[in-house]
Amino acid sequence: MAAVRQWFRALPFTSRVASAVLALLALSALAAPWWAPYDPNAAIPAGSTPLDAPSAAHWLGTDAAARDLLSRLMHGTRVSLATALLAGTIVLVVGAAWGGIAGMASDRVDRWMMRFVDAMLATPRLLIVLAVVAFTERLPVSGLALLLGLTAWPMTSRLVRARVRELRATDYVAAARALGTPEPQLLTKHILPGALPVALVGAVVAMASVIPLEAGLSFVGAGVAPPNASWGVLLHDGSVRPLDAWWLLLFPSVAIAATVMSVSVLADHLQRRIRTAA
Amino acid sequence: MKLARRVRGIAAVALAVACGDGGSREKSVVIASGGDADVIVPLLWAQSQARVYTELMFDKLADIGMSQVSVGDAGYEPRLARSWSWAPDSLSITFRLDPNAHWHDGQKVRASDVQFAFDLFTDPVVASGAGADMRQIADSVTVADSLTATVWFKARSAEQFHSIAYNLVPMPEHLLRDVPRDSLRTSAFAKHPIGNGPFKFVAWEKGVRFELAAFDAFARGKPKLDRVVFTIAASAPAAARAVFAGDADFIETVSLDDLAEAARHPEIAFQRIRGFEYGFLSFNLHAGGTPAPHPVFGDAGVRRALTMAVDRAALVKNVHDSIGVVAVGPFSRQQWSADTTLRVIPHDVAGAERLLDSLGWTRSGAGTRAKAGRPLAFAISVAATSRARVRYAELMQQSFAAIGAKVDIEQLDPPALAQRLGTHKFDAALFTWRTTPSPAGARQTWGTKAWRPGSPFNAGGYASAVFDAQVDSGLSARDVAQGKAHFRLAYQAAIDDAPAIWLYEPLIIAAAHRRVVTGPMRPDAWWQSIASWDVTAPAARAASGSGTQQ
Amino acid sequence: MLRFALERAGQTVIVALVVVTLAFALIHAAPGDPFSPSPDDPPELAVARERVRQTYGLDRPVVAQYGLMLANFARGRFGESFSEARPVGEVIAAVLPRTALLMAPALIIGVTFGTLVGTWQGRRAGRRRERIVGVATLAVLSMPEFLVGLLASIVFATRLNWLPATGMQTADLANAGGLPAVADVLRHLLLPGGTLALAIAAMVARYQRTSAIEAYGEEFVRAARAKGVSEGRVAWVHVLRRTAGSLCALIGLLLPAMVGGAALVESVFGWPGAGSTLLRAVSSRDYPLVIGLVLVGSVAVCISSALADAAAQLANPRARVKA
Repeated sequence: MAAVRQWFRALPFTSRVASAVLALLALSALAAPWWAPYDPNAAIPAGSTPLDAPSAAHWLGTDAAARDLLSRLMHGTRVSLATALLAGTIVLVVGAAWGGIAGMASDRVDRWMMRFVDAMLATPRLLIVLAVVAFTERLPVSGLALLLGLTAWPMTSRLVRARVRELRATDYVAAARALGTPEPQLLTKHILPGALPVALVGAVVAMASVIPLEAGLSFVGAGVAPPNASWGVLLHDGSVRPLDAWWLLLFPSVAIAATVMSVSVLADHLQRRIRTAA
Repeated sequence: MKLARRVRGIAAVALAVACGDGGSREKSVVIASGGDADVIVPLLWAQSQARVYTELMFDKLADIGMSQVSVGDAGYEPRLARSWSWAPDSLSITFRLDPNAHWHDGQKVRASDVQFAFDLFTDPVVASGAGADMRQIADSVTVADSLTATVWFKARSAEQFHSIAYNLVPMPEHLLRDVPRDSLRTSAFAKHPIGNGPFKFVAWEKGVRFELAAFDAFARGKPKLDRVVFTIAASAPAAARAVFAGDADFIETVSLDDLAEAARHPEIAFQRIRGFEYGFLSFNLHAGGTPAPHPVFGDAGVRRALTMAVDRAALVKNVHDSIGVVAVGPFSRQQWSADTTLRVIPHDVAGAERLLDSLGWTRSGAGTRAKAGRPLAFAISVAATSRARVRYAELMQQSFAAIGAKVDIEQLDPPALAQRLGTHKFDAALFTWRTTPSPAGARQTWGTKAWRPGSPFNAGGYASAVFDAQVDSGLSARDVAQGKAHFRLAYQAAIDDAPAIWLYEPLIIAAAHRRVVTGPMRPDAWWQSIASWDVTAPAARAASGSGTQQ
Repeated sequence: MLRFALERAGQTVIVALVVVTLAFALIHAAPGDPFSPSPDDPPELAVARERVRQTYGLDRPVVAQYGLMLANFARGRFGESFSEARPVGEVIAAVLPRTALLMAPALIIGVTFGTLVGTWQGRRAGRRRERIVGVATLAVLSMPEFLVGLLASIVFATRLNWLPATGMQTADLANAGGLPAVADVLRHLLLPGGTLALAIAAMVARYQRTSAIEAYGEEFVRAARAKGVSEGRVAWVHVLRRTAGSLCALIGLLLPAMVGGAALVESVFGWPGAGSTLLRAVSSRDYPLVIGLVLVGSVAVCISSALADAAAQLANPRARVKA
């Protein structure tokens, strides 16, 4: 606990704010099933009326089906963050693996692997995702996260590959090799730890791009499906009567913007730390 | 940085100046619709919006009037045919065409066009569904002179006039004679149809807009409007928004949510049109695609009990409030065969519980009922796109829970739901049928023969010899009274057997800008009144923004 | 240069093949079917739908369908759109220009604006005003483009009524022709185009800021200042030229990322371009149209970003392409 506090104090101001925001959102997401005041999908919640402005009973108001917005937002945060996290993990694993292998491999193999990466980078992600969504019925949330992750790893693999190449060429590694250290040990002891931070940054940046993508897909009905809540679904609900029920649009918008901003700030900070450490 | 902003500012000002002068002096109406057509040739289309376009461009021989009675010809008004007469044995009807009727290219409409149309639509190469139906009741069309055509029928039937008048749309023989019949849908004619109706084709930007202009030489008088433009929105709610924003003048139907917008738009008037739709919860009487009876719904008693558990009046009041009525049976009240005095299954929760107990579905305390290990549990499949239907499903879920049935709601998007119905892989499904003035649809939607793999008609597999026989008798009856008597028996059988819970009949609420004078609209075809629409003031559309100021 | 062109052409082919294979692998897994008669159809309509279903050969075995489509694609034929009853090629030819009409001004304005902001930020890096602008840029970037568009639409169209909320033209002005029609289209273009331009500007500004900071730290700036070159010239001539290369490279990477946002913005504003058409095709399970648009879209973006990268090479052969 003390270590966390120390790390927190060492952060610059913006990163502190960002971490706090993310921690708050993550906490509400984790606690949603127990701490949410109402059932987010309840058909006819007892005693609520539709389209109530924020009040004591409903802190963030109710939507057109009389569901409590705070509860829906908490559960929606859960879904959206979980999707981002799962996608980010895939990006980390696949991106690090691909980039690592390309970095360690011969020039020829490396070139072909990177050509594939370039091709993937040149293909608009949304198009691929939409094509898959068009042909599958009701993609479960995990499936969506998988899909988003599988279309987001190329950039990370580029970063990892570049770093691995760099590390391979350092004097340190050359010395270790001269001393007779076997290749696998070189990889695990020297190169991987050096490449991991970069992969992590790539994954975090990818998460920052997955969140708006998932929101957009759910907004047009191609992502998370109602009645389950996710930020995109909530935005869609809020877009129907934006002037009357402003709270339905405001709070999910703030949630998304705050999250992506915080993740970006942290990614920047991580990137700076890595650069100065290198 | 500020430079770019400044440039943008100047451009905006320039635009505002350029747009100063509003639209033209002509009378035009913009109609918003949530979908587009696929083919705009009569009887060859598959998307219902095409019906609107084609009926404005192509006139029929006769059309049904506000009475909406499709039996005989009393309910019909002359259109292209100025008059008609029946042969004494009713096996042929002779139509006399209006001598002033012209095609949009100036040629006169001739009796040979009627004969040509019959040939065309019944030709299997053309593959028209409505044409195939026509072939089943009519033999041929003969021409006596240039204005007289006689349709010969295979047999008498109550709706023989209706099926010809509705389907046999005369087509310009002089233009279509040499067009290969198998590529009619993609021919030059299909891209620029020449009809004889009150409006002629101007332009069609698929997915964006469809434009018609008044036909000056229209036999029954040039329409008051100069132009009609359909603006196609991405969805029904988007179309409604276009009307509220002032980008369009009329929309055929607004949803419950949109009605709440009404208060902020005093310039929009609403008109209630009796609807032809009825919604219901269909039980699958068979087990997922097989002929074996469904473990829960195979028993009529269970179905009746579930019906008793639902307070339909309260449900309709909750969801549709004053813009819907409770459905009585497998029909719409607007049809001539309708009967609202039929005996319905009453709302009786205690009775439902007793009935289920007596059938062996028992429960301990307040849990879910079960019989021989099988719980009384099922799923209701509903289209996620309709908030009203989802709501009905949720309310029924609660009603069923109260008598010990565990229900899940499965929200699907329309194509997925259609597939489930086609493959019969569902427990219960909540959807609607849109009917026409003719009750012949009952055969297709609840008749025994309609239950086929791959077809969503009668997806629940209702099979009743009584229903089939009485519907057939009703359709071949000589007059309305006799027909009604038969249909009464048919409908009563269907209500008693409870293959579905008949829920609601929604009213159609059309929204129009006050400057548009629409007059009464036919429930089955509101667009037919467009020929007599008028506008009291030119649209303010071209000015910046919309017609309303907040 | 030739080698570059060949490489990029090869890449485009790889992309096309992968997309095509992916599409076909998915086809047979599709459950919903647009030509199944819908329960909402009147009986006559449903019969018509079944008939059209047979016409499109949806009942053929999977392998035959695959081979048929592959052969057709090679010839540039994507089949017929189910929902529009006309060749997919025709649909694409109709909607793609509308998307270009939206994207081109947005790109030009966005890149210009973003470059100006980013370069200005590079000059005043660390100062208070620059930091505020930085936060604003980040805020814009953090919101999905469609959300920005939605908010803009609510403010400027719904609330203030200054601009039209949806569509590309006012319905009955479409045939007017001449200046009023052009002005009408431009009015409809302002909100969606502005939204995209803003998003692009934010992205470009962020990267340009870093580039500019680096450039400002270099020798040649000190040398120029020592020579007495004005601050303005240093910024807008020297630094800009230095960063041009990586800027073009950025645009090359930016284009694929923008496509998603552009499609959603088109949907929010009802702009009848390729993006909104694709979204509609997805929800109505219009397979041929989905495949056609995804394929053409991917290839188009590939080619555009290749062009941008070519410009990068020309601008500065020694440009460091930032990974």
